[in-house]
Amino acid sequence: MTNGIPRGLNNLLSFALSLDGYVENASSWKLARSITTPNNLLKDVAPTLSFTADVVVPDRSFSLAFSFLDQPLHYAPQVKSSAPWLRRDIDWHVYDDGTLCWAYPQHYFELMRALSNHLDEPELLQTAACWCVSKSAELVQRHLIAEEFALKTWPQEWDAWPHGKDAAQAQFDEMKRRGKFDAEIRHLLAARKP
Amino acid sequence: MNLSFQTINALANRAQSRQFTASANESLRSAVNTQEEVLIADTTGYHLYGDLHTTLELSAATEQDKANLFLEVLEDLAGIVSDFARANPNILIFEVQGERIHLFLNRNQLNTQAIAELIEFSAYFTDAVYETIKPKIEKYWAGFCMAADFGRAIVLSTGRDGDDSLISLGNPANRPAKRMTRTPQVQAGHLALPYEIAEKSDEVRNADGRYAVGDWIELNVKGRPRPTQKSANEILLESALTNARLSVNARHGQGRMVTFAANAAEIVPTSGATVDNPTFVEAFVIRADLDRFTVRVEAAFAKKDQNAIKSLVLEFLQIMKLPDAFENYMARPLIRLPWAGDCYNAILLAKDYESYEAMRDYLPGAASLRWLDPDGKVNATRDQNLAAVALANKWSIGVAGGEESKGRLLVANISTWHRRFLIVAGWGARRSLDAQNAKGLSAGESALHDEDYAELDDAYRKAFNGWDNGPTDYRKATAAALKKAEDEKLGQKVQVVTRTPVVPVPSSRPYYDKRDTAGS
Repeated sequence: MTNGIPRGLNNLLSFALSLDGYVENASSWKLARSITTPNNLLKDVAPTLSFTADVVVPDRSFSLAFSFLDQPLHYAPQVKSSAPWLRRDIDWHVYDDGTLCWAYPQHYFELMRALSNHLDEPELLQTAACWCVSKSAELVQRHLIAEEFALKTWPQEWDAWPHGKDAAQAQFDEMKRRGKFDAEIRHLLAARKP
Repeated sequence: MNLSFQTINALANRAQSRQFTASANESLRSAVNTQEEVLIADTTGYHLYGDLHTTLELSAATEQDKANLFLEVLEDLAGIVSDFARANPNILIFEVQGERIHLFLNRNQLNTQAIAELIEFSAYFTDAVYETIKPKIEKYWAGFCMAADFGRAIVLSTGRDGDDSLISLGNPANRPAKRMTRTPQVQAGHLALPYEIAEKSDEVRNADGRYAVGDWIELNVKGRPRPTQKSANEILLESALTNARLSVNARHGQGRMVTFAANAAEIVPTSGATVDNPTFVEAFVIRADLDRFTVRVEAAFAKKDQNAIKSLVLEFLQIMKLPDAFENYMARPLIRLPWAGDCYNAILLAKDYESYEAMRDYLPGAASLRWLDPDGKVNATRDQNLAAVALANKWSIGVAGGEESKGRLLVANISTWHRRFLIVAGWGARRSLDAQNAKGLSAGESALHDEDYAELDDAYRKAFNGWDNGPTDYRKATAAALKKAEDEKLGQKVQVVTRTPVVPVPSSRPYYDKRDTAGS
């Protein structure tokens, strides 16, 4: 318990507050228990918090729908967009329902865990929130650029993880083996210093 | 595709003969596959252009009554030329492009008599325009002028919908059109003739008030003394004036409405767009001018090589297919306008989610880049033969939308006595033409007006960074500079505007996996 609020719920609320600093016009927060299977009916099911909000980028704003579980530092929040220019296509990192694949889940998990050795929880929540909003927005904005430039394929200039868990994990392992992941952590920490 | 060489009259009267043939063969129609039939004529004669000048307040009208008036005026212009052409079998209408008309005087000799006929026709036609149109738009009137040239040209008719214009390839069709766009403009009420043609005519040599502008002689044709006995042209002038009065009376009862579409999704198909019911859009006009094709036609003529001419015609028919790939690649609503000689013209509309203002950020640059195609992305979508044709030909581009006009354009079909012409009117239509014809614009370059430059994204502004010794108010960019702008734009990071300070996070790197195996 934290201030009388169950820990899981407290995590959700704290993260939602962190996200709120990076968006505008947030809707009411909706808290729900996740759908479960009959076998798990009596088990404690994690709650999900969801809301919609506008993300403002230079010259325009668009709406995103956020949804996350009670361990937002372990599991990357789900973000959906209904922007009319969105290409709901595997090669453009978007599911058919508009869910944005803005991060590789394992990278998110391990990066937040590594940063937790150096940052306190509010700082971690802020990092996760900023990462989630800015990179989701960047993905949506890149779809708009693709429409404007009539791009037919995801450009090489835009970095992306390879498709599929195995391929992405292999690249992530290689990244760690070569020390690039540690370097990324060092870089992020160094950039925080005034 | 069927190709057949025909007389120029057969091409100019194609729509009329097509209607006749169609009704005569109605019962056979369903059994016959519709096949494109291209008619070609190897012609020698006088190409005559007429340009109506009005103020931007009218030609780029933003109010319904002015937009109406402008279209009425364009219809009047087409009506006058139609009256003259109907009664004189030697005057053929090649193109009606809004304020500009392209006529052909079917006389194959360059001599005093034919030039006199050209001048007499120009004089009566000019007087008819002044007497019918000027009083109607006095406040917005800026003159009417003409330019002509004589010689051999290849003329094509594709017979495609909305493309009833005849396409002329060769210097005599190209030079007067270019002269019309150059400064100083041809004086109002004047006919401009190339010096070498003017010198063939005693009438021009001895005329008062003629003067030279570069290689051109300008002759005042307005208000010339009329012969005491009524000539055929005099009778035509009277008929044109009567018809103009009748059409004014008829229009008063019609209660015409211009449909102002709120967005691209509401645009009505142009096939039904008439002057009485035009299509209104907020869009950009793009014009792509084929480089040096006229020179190649002239070289083939000089060689007197009929096979060389035929192969050029075949190549041009291939060239006319090149825009398909561009249009597919751009994947946006578009209205294709008739070719003007070897110049492709189209209206680029907003996608259903964007406004005209949003288009102004990028479209002039992005569309120019895709047309010029320095990275070959568009060409990669063409078949091998067309890709080779595309690589062998270069283009210069003019593109315009406008600030004050808000991109407003009116699109309508204007009918002459036997053919229909899809026309566009507005600031973008005029300025894109001026940009594309500006002196100093080379192949592989795109030009745009300062008004459009002002709203471009920074990356494109760098590409359109100026024009040494070019026309004032215009800027140009090379294909390479446009590609560089695209690369810069792709490299830009998106900065979210936030209330909370942004903290360092990993760079953008999206992922994708099938849903049933893992989430994202």
